[in-house]
Amino acid sequence: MKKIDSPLELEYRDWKPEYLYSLGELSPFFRAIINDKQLMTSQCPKCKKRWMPPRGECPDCYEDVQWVPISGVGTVVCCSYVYFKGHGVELLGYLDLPYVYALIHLDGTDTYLSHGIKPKSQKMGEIKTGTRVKAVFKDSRRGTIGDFYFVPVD
Amino acid sequence: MRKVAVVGIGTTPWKMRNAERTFRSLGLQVVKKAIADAKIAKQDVDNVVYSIYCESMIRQQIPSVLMQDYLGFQGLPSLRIEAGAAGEGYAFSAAYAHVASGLSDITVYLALQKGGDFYDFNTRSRGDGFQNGMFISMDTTWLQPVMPSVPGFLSTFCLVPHMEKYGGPTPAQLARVSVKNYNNAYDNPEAQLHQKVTAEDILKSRIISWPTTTRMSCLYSDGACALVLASEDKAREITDKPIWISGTATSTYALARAEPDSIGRMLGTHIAAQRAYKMAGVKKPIDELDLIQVHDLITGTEILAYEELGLCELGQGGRLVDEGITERDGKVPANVDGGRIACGHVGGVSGAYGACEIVRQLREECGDRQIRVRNGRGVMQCIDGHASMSSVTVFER
Repeated sequence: MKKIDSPLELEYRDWKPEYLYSLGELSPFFRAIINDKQLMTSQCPKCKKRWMPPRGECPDCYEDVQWVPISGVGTVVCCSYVYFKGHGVELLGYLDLPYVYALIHLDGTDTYLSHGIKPKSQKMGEIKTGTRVKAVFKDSRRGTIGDFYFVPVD
Repeated sequence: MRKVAVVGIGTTPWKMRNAERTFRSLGLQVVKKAIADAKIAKQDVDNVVYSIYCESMIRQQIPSVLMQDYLGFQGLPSLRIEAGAAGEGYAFSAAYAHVASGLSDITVYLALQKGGDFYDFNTRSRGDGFQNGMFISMDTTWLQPVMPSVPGFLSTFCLVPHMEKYGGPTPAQLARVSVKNYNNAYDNPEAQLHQKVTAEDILKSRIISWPTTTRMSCLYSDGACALVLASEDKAREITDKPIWISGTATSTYALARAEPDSIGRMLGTHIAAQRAYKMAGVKKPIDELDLIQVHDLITGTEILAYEELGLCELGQGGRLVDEGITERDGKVPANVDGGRIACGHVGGVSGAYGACEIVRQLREECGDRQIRVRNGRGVMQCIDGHASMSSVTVFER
C-alpha cells in the first residue's frame, strides 16, 4: 500500500439517517395539499388570529386551532432575488436561477409565509413588494411545504 | 450576585479546515492557552461550560462528555449550551451565571466547532458538504425545503425589508463594511483571510441573494477559543488586568414568526441590548463604548446590529459606515478582528472569538491593531441563522 504522511482522512458515507417522519397535528394541512391542492390556515378559536405557516395550537392562547381553507393568493411583503442555489431545497428543478425568495401575506391570514416565486422573466424587479402571487401545486406531492411554489397572478 | 471577570483567554488561528487536529485536540489547545494566560493551575478550575453548536458537523453526538474527559476535568460539573450561531453568547451568559451565583469560583468556557470535515462526494466539494450538512439547523418543516441559504434568509427577512422601511443601508455601504472587515483581518495574524479588497471587488463578486454578494457573506471555518471566568475575589488574586462582565442578556424573538413589526428588524438584539445595558449602566452607547464585535453573517446584519444596539436611530446605520465611525480608528470600531466576513466563522465560536478580541483590546495588547481605549467598555453581540436568538454582553475594564 502507498504510504501516507499527511493527516489521515477517513471517508464516512454511512451516516445518513433516514426517517418515516410523523406530521402529527399538521396532518390536516398537508393532507389538503396532497388530496385537494388546497391551502389552509389555522385559526385560534379564542383570539381569532390566523397563523401562516399554520400551527396545531395558538402560541398566544394555547387553544387547539380550527382549519380554514384559503385561496392561495397573496401579496409579496418583501423579497430577494436568489442567484445561489442552496442545497436540500425542494424547489430546485422547478425554479431556475434567479428565482425570488419572498415573504408572502396570503389573503385571509395574519402572519407571513416565506416561499419561492417563479418570475416570468429573469430580469430583476419584476417581483417586488406589493406583487400579487398565487400558489401552484406540483404534480407529485408528498406532504412538505415544497409541494407548491408561487407565480405572479396574471 | 457576585462580580465576574474574564481572567484568561485562549485562541487559535482560524482555518477553513484544520486537518491537523480533531475537535478534541483543537479544544484542548485553546483551554491550555487560556489557563496559561490566566496563570492558574488546571486544578483551580471548578466548572466547565461548553458552546458546541452542531453535532452532525463533527459526526459526534453528546460531544461535551468526550471533551470533558479529554480535558481531564474528571468529577467537575459540565454544561453544554446550543443556540445556533448565538450559542456562544447563550453559553457565555450561563458561564457568567455560574460564577455570579456562587456555584463556581473559576469556570472554563470552551467554544468549539469544526465544520470542514463535511464533504460532498458527488460534487467533490467541502462547501457543498457544509451546505448539505448544516441545513438541518434551520426549521426543517417550514423553511429548509424552500429557503435558499442563510445569507438569503437574512437578506430577505432582515436586510431588504429594512432598506424598504428605513431607506438604508445602500449596496455601497454594505460593500464598505466588507472592505473594513477585510482590512481589519489583514492585520490580524489569526484571521483566515489576508487580502486587500476594494468596494468594487465586493460589489462585483457573485450575488448570493440581492443585494448580498459572496464577499458580503461570512466564511466557514474550523475554530475554537476558551475564556477563564473568575469571581471578584479570585480575579483580583489572579490578575491585575481583570476584564469585568458588567452586563449580559439573551433574547429569543422568533423572526420566522413573521409578523409586520418584526420584519426588517433584529428585535431580539434590541431587547437583549436594553437588558444588558441596564445591568451595566450603559445609557448612551455611541459615547460609552470603545468597540463592538457584532454578527456580520452578512454585512447587512452588521449594519442592522449598529442600530439595534442603539448606536444610532433605525435606518442610520449606513451613515455610521459613511462617516467611518466603525472603522478601526473611528469612534466605535466594529469587528476589529475582521469579523465573520474575513477573520473566520463557525456557529458557536465566532462570537466567543469576538469576546477574546474585546478582552485583548481592553487590555491594550494588540500592538499595531490596538484601538484607542477611552471608556474601557466593549460589547459582543451575536444572533443565530434565524436572527431569532440574540445575545449581548458588555465587557468593562
